[in-house]
Amino acid sequence: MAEAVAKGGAQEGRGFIGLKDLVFCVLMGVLMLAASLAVAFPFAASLPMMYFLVPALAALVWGILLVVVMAKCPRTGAVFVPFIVYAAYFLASGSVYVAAMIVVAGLLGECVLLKGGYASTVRGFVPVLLLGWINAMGSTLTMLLFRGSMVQTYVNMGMDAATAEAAIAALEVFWLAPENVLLALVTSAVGAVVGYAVGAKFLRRHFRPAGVM
Amino acid sequence: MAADAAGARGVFGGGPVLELSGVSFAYAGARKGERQLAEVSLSVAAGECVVLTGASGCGKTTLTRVVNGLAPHFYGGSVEGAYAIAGRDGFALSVAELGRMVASVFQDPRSQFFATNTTDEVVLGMENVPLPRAEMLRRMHEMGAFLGIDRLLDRRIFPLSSGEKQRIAIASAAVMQPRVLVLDEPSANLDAEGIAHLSTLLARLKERGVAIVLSEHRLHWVRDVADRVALMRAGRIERMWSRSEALALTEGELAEYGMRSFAEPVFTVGASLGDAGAFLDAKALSFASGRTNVLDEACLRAHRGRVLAIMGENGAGKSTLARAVTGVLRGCSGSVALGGAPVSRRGRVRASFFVQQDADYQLYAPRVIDEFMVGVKPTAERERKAREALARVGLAGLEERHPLSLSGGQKQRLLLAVAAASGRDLLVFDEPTSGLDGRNAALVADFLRWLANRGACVLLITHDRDLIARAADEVCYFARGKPAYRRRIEEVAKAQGV
Amino acid sequence: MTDGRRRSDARMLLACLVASIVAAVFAATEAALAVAFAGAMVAHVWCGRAGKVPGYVAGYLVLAALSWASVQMIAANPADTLAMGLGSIGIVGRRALLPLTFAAALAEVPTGSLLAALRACRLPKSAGIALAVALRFAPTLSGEYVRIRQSQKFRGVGLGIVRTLAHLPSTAECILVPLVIRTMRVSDELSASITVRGVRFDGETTSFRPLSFSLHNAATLAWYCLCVALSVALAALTAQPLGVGA
Repeated sequence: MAEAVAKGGAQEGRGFIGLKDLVFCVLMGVLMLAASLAVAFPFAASLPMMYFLVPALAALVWGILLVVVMAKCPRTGAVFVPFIVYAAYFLASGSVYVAAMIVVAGLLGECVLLKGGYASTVRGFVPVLLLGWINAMGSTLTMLLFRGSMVQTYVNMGMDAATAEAAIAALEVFWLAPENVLLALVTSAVGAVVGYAVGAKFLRRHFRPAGVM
Repeated sequence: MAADAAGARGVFGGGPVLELSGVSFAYAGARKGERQLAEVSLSVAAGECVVLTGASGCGKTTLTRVVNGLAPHFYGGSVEGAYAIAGRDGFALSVAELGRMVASVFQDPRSQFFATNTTDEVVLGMENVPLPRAEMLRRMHEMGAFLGIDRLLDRRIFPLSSGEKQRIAIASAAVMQPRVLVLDEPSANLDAEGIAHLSTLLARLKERGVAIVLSEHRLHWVRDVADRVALMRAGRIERMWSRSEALALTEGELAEYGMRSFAEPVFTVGASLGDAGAFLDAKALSFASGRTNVLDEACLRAHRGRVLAIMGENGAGKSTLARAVTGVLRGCSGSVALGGAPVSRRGRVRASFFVQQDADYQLYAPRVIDEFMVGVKPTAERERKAREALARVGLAGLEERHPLSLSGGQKQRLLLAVAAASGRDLLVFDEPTSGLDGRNAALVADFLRWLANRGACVLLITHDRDLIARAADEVCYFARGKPAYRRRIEEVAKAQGV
Repeated sequence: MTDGRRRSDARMLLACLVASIVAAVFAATEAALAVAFAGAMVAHVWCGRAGKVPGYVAGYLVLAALSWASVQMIAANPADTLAMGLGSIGIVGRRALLPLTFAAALAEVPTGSLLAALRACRLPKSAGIALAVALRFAPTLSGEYVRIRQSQKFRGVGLGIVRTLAHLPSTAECILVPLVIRTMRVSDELSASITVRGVRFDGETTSFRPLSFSLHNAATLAWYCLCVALSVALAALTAQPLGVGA
């Protein structure tokens, strides 16, 4: 048999993700989803925490994990997969607006990362920031989607219509007040910056020396 | 090599099914000149089983990856040489094409499954050929009876034992009717019963003409199924023995080669050493998971200065017992006393150290030396003790390495060193020699003895009888959630008739 | 598995999930939501998942109780943010429960049938592979986390709430690093395992389990779609007219 010299293995920084990358990105997406739910759960009953703290914490964790994804699979589609996993969860729980926004953010993130973006420090931050902002606005979007349902529930459970409307209006004031929106966007951006920086640190400190990248 | 050529004729006659000629392989990113395989030549005939053995890092796993095509197609790298499989050029085939002739079974049953249902897992390869449904059904029925897995079909995979999962993995490979079956340390997570099943399955597949390439450290179970044994070192096949030649190697020669024994030790046990002065006194430990009593009023006593080995089948409750005794298991009733005084669950966590089987869960620091400072304030004294412990386990010089960059055996030894440096009184080790070659397994055994001689109370959960023979004072057999018996080891001999 | 579950075609469950999303968005009144929920529970019983129904009903009632409690708290203090939070959980949670019950049913469909159903729906093979991998990995995640946390305790990490909060960054590092490493290892081994068995994006596949959208599946889907349609109609007919922002 003639001698053969062959090189093979995963593409290096070119083209779309393959099967190996898809499996990794899906698993990381599941991990990110689980982390988001774990971070949100203790604060679920507190509106200020859900609006200002939880998105920041989620962005922090997502930042770390997305940095790992981008470093391990620097190919088109790698970042979009975790976004799709996250969106699928929201779709499966009826939050259609949020799911749609996450898909849009994922596509936007991939567009930004085209042509060498996975290796860029600045452009690599964009998907992290986008997801942080989606998380921040997620509760607002959910409230807008279910506004009518909320009023009807209050009325069906004995509240008069005027009081129900007033209660929902108070909720809207909280979620839609410009200063609160700005604060939520800022805190989630801070979380994203910290997460991205910590992720980069973990890459240098752990994942590259461990030989898994 | 003469043994290689002679062996390749096999029982079924004809030429070899698999032939590697001068194959070299280097992973992508390897240093210049570094190769994981260096001019390996190997022929395997139909119905023949070749066992690959050698120290960690010798190239056994890489060789199996070249055979099944994962190297270089999946694990990037460059390969040289020639590879013929059933008369075809193996290097010219894709992994999927190779997969129709070469089936693979991996080490960890937890992570190699794609499906959640056993039947779907078994048929996965056939679906992707794809075979007609009628043919898939025919092979399923045939293999179900042949491999004795009928009762395992159409069940959820997660609740199965390690042995059952491994049988499903073998069935998934066998239904492809491969010419070659590649197994990478398939016995790593199996108990004695699981290993016996595995050996029987491989013997049956050999009878059907399947060529088997088996990478393994634990040689006792392969002595009846192996036709040849290849010792690898630094990416080369250093020695090749026929079965009879391998079994004729003396214990001294095996130790020199860093291999484990082909014969399991036989223990002569005597009366228990008694409970007087026991350091660990666990009483009536009970724990239920769902409707199963994992621990059933289990009592256990162990002494300082001694190693108590806890044996038993997978699922008997050994690891749960260890978690209960060391305090990490919530919801367990009963009491545990250390040094004569009852200790709370949290107190037991502080007083004990439990090294689990999988090192990846237990390493957190950026450098080996930093692992000794996790959760404590770094001091010069702690660093001195850490370096001492590292030297004792043969890891001196690796202080600056990232712990996760170490080999599997090195990680296990690092955790032993961390346990020793912790200064805790109760030390529990779960399968510390899993995946270790003979030399490193002996090192671990001697280290456990040293820990006991220093005054620690050492509990050792293991299937490894060589480890028990070398390190343990007593053996406790655990079955159905409680100790069945506890005996002192009086004498150790090798099994006859090998 | 029961015969009912064996008969549940993944496409039927997917369609029920989509219908549930419609119900979640448009069944605005309590009565409408109850109709959709009751219809879903009947569908689950027909699919052989009767054992799950008490848990779903209990969840629905608990969330309804939260809604009711929030109504009482808001009546006493309209600016009570805790009450608003509880109310949001109770209202949105019950709506999320509808599609999530069918997502859970989908997760129990044998992998081969699931992949075949997705292919029959003309979805790309990668979507099926991704869903199968996610469903296979998700149940193991909590076990991975527990093993890491138990190991940490012997190192003095994460012992108690106070200590955890005092050393939050290092504790988080000690959790995330091994969790990511384990995810990488599982990913590598899983993808190697499926690659050697021929799973790939291109290439034909034949499902071992034949797809069949039986009369039973059609009847279940028809029943549930009818319930959703009724609930949406009921909501439209009986909803209180709303003010600005509805």
